[in-house]
Amino acid sequence: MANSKIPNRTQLLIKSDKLRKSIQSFKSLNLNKLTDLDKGIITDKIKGDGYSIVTNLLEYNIFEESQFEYALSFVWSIEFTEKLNFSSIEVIDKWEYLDEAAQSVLINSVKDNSHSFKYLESLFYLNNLNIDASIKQKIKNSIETLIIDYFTLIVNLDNQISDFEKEKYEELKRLLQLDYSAVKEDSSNTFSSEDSLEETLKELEELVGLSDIKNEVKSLINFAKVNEIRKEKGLPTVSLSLHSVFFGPPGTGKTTIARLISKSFKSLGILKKGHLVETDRSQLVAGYVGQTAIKTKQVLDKALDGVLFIDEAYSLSNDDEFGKEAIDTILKYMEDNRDRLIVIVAGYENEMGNFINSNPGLKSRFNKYFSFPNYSGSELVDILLRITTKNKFNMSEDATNKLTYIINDAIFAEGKQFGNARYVRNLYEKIVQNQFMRVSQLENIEEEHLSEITISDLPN
Amino acid sequence: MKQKIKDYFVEINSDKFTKVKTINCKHDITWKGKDLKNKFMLTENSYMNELKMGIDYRQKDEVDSVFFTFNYANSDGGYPGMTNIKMYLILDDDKNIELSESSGFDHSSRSSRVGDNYINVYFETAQLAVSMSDFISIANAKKIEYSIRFGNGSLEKIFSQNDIMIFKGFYNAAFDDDFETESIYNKFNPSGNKKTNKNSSTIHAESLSEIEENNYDENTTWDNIKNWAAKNPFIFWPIAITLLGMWVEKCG
Repeated sequence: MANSKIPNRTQLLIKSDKLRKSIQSFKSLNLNKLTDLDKGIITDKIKGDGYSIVTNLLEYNIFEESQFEYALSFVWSIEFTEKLNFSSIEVIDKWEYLDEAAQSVLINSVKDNSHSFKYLESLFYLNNLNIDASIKQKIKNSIETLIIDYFTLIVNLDNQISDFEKEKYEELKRLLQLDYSAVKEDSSNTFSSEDSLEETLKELEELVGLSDIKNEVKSLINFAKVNEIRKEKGLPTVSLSLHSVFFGPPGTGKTTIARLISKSFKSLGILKKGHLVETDRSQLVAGYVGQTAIKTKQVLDKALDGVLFIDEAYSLSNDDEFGKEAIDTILKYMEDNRDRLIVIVAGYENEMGNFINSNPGLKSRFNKYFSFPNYSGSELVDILLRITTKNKFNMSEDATNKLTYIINDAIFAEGKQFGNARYVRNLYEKIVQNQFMRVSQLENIEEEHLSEITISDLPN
Repeated sequence: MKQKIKDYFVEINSDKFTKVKTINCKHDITWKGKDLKNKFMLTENSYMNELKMGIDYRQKDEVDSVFFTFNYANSDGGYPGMTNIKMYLILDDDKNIELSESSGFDHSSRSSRVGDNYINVYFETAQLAVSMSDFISIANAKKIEYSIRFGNGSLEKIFSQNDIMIFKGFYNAAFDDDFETESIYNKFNPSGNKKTNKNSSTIHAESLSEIEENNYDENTTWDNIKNWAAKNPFIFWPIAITLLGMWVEKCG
């Protein structure tokens, strides 16, 4: 840069112009060697790879947090889009004058077209093209250079390179050097939605207890699946609100079920990313009126195209101004992004009932209720035994018997505050700690000693 | 090479009181003589007239802008009136730019006696703000058509390659020293094209190499006067005309 003291925005424009020229030069030197069809496809793939670089590098940060990085991705997007009658540099320079709709088209194009960064789709596509090997190699080199230039421009925007960015650079280099003939097999497995739905359902089946919940989730998934098939066949679909209320005590599997629901909806194509963002009051509410909406929107943006799970949602009660601001923001966002976000609110039954009834907006939008009961003593023993087996421990019979008493005692002693599966995980850690202590004191440690849990390892 | 381009094209100043930083282009684009005849409010009777366009950049903290600064001098009776100045550009037969956001206007006049008569010389300055994206487009252009409009007239032409090089050189020197560096340098390289264009920019007067040579020349007093007169025609000529008038009167 000729003069590093010029304003950041001007520097951004200068860098954007460099990127614009690199893309134009890439296009004129390489794409004319391809057929129109291949040219179109490879351009789209390069575009998608660029978006993925940005979103991965920013860890899906929202636009407001990384405006300059997004700006470079707009240049990328505009320059790789044919027949646009406006200049990318002008869009960035006059961003404030663009209407909200135009802004959101650009922002969403970056988010919507980012894929999980497992490989570079453009290079994968190029690899399978039936063209002269030397031309293929030349285009490959040009794509590599372009992508590295793009990456470097983004990480250098703040004139410093963090360890995280270095790590991402190594990742990018690895992806650029991948043998793309081997990727073919891998990608077909990765993107088989049917397989992953089956896996998700299998995972659901393997959960201890929760038989009613499992049936409800399966019926919800089947309903959504049939709806999607109807959509594909051009038949009218049934409107279904997927926003849900999970009520029940802590440790009863609410988050686990939410995660499985989001995964299955991703497999069905209902959600693009299918990630789960867990949050609670502390991450939604700010210290001042007005700021809560901003903070809440940031969390919502992160959850877009996935599931937002709000634990102890009743703490955002209407009695409190900040909580109300958060709820209003969430409701508006749900309305604006009806097909792109599922919100699950969770908490104790009574508190959640009062919470939902306190606000007509909530009541009308959340109409699926899942009740998570306390696990029975035997179910919790079963959970603990599964954990120990999974970790290659054997529990003696007398220890298993004693375990039943310990868990049931805890249920009675702790009442409503009982942590269910969470309690079991803590109990498992205590048992293993005691077992390690005991074994470490043995003179001759045999392999069977290492895996055996005896009654003496259980806490009193 | 980069430093030479910078030295050749820009002068950088910083006001320690206001914290305003300015980058001025050392070379103007000039129109005079027949180029301006019958344009705007000029007539055949004008003793002198000249329009100059300079490029300036001003920055304070995170706010900055590029300006095209127009200086107009006219000895004709008609008042030019640059208050409504506009500039239209067509870049590479494709992109249209309209510059009309005047960010400053100033005028002054001076009366000089010539023989029994007095002539009025008007000086006007007006600035047009140029958005950074527009300036980047201008710097990237290979062909620029322009129309400068104020008063009742307009001046429409195509910038010469020397003029275009002023935009490019300024952009390189002020913002991006990787920008077309070689072609900018070669354009003014002594072994390169030294042809001049009298109707156009003042940039042809000196090449980069000549500037270097001039730094080591011992100028004569007469050379100094000539240089000063060339750089300050609005001050020099009224004085010269006044002195000539006085001399004619004394002799007569």
